[in-house]
Amino acid sequence: MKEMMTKNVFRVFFDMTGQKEEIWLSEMASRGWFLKKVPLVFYRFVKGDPGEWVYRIDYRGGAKVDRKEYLGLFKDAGWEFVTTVAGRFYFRTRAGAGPAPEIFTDKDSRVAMYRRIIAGSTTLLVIMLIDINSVLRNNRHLNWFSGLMLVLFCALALLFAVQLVQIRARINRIKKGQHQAAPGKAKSERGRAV
Amino acid sequence: MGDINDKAAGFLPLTEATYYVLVSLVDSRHGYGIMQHVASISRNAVSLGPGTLYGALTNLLKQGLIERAGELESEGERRKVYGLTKLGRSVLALETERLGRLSRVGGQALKKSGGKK
Repeated sequence: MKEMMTKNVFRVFFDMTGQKEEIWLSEMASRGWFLKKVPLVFYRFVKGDPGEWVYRIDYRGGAKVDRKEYLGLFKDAGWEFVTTVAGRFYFRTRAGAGPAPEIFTDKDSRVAMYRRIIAGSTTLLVIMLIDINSVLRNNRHLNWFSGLMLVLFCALALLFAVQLVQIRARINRIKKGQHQAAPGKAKSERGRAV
Repeated sequence: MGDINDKAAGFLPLTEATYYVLVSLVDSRHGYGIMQHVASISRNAVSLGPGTLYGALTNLLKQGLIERAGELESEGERRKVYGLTKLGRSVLALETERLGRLSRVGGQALKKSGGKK
C-alpha cells in the first residue's frame, strides 16, 4: 500500500482577505500538492495528481455558524469543503474552461465578508494594544525577552492596522464598482452573477 | 395591515440576490432548491453563490422575513426548508410594486425619446 505523502509548508500571508492565499493554493494543486489542514502557522499538503482547482476562503469569524446548513449549501453548489481554522473556511472546486466560479456573487456579500474580517482583526488589534500597554506600564521589569516581545507585538499591531486600512480601501473600491478581480477570480461562466 | 406595510417599507430597496431568494420562497424550498429555482426562472442568466446565499438566508431569518419550515430528505441528504413569513410576503409585494413602477416610468421615457438606444 502506498503511503500518503505529505509536507508542511510554513508561510505567512499579510493579505487577510485571502486572495493571495487562494491563488497560491491553486498553484500548489497544479503541482500536485493539495491542502489538507492549516494548523495555524503552517499549511499541510497531501500529494496527489496535479490538477486545476479553484480555492476560495470564506471568513465567518466568531459568529455562530449552522455548519450542517452552511457546508451543505457549498456542497450543493459544487464546492468541496477542505478545512477550517480560526473562523476561516477553505473550499475548492474543479476549474472549468471559463472564468473561475465564485462563492460570493454580489458586491454586498463580498463587502459583508470584508467587514467580518475587519471586525475580527480589530478585536485582535485591541487585545494587542492592551498587552503592549500593560508591558509598558511594568517597564521596570523589562528584560531582553519582554523587550523583544514588545517589539514583535508592536510590529504585528502595525501590520494589522495597515491591513485594516487596506481592506477598508478595498471595500470603497468595490462600492464604486472599481473592484479589480484577481486572476482566476472572474464571474461565473454561466452568465451574470448577482 | 397598514402597520405591516410600514414595517415592510423599511426593508426596501432589496438587493438583487435578496429579491431572488424571496421570489423563490413564495413556495417553501431548501437552499439547494433556491439555487436551482433562481437558475431556472432566470434561464441560467443569474447564479447565486453559496456564500452569498448563506448570508442572505441568515439575514432574512434574523429580520423575520423568512422562517424555517421543517426539513426535507432527498438524494440521501437532509436539508432545511424555508418559507416566507407574512412580513416577508409584504416586503416582496412592495418591492415588486416599486420595481414595476420604475420599469413602467423608464419604459415610457425611452419609448417617447423615439427608441434611441
